[in-house]
Amino acid sequence: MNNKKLGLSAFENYSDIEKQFQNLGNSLLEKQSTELATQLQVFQNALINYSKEHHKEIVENPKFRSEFSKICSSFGVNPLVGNSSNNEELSNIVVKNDEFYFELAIKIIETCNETKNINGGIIKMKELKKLLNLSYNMNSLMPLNFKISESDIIKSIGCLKTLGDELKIIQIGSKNYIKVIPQALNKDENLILETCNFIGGYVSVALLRDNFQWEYIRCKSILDDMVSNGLLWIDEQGEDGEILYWEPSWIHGK
Amino acid sequence: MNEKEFKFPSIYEFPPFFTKQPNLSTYNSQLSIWCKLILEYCKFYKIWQLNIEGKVISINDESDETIGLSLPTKIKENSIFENKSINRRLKPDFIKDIISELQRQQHLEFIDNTTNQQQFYIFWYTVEEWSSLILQWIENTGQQGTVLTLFELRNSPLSSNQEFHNMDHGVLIKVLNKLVEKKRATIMKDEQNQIVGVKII
Repeated sequence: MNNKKLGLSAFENYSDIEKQFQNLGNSLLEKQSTELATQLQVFQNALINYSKEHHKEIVENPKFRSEFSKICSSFGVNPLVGNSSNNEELSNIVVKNDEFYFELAIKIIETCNETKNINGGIIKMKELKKLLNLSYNMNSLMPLNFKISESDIIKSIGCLKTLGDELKIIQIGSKNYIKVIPQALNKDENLILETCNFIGGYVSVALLRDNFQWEYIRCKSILDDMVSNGLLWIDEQGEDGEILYWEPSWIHGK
Repeated sequence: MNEKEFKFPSIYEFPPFFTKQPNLSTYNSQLSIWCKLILEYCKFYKIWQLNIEGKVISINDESDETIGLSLPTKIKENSIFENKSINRRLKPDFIKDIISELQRQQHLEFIDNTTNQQQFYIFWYTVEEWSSLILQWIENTGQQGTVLTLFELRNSPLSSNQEFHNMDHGVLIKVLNKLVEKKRATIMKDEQNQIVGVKII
């Protein structure tokens, strides 16, 4: 069969051939990419199955565990996808290894230092958790829906115990706080912060006098002290003209 | 969330934010949060001029009509220095501190520096940054050496996706003067000594 055209009509032929080549190329590419996708799927499933089968070993053997998580990340495979039942368990195994807790500890120190000028070095556990999760979510290497929990923070701070007790979890009232300053809170300071939480963010001299029967001078000096340590913010525009002393974690809402 | 409304940071609802903090390091953070907030607010609403009370200066100049019009009335009437929902406002001495800090960062300049320091330009980009933005646009669109009227720079559809679109007249003049200073522009004036056109190289 000879459909070779000669003369001017040959040019028409070129575009036809070109089109055919393109079609062929497209279908080849498509075939290849579906094949690759299936392969990836198979590999992913294999990894998930593997992690289920060797669950115990992964948990018990740290060396094995870190090798396993390395494989997961180097292949760009997220073994957590499509496996909703033990997502949390898996993320604990794959991501939350010792290295992770040391890194988290550094992040905790950084976050506390960044907010120190605003809160005087005492930060609510809830707020710290929020800030940490925010910075982790921006990191695309982390699995989807990855969350830091309070127990992660507690465990991480535990790693730093040997460095002294500058970074410490303290309890004020019913709430947990993280402290990054060397000095400890005294009983009065503790009580004031607890009262702030209880009342709606602030205290005043009159409030302390009425509730705890403290002398004026005791109220004033301890409040001023806390302001100069950055633990309280003053508000001169309260309704009856009395200075209100606010606890800075209320910056982020109730 | 309505995207047409500026979302204030949560500290704007915190009453002590409106009182000058006696603790110096607390105060420095407070001051820098205020400066950042004002610049972001002005950038969001494309506000070019504010007065000392924190209100947007309404512009009556005919050629500038497009600028004020798009702002919601609420924004035109409210002061950034006052949060009515918690009944707190900044005192004049604190406002002065914020103004001089913004001045130091080259993000603010009084409109009339000699007699009354009541109104000021807010440069959410500094004049320097603005001049490079315009220069970049000129280069990207191949308009080096073309004579452009000020209207063309500010209002033409060509620049409608640029951040300097509808730029305040006074700010534009400052930016152009900066470009002249850098020897990147020549300015053309009419008989009244008003700038009418510019050639950027």
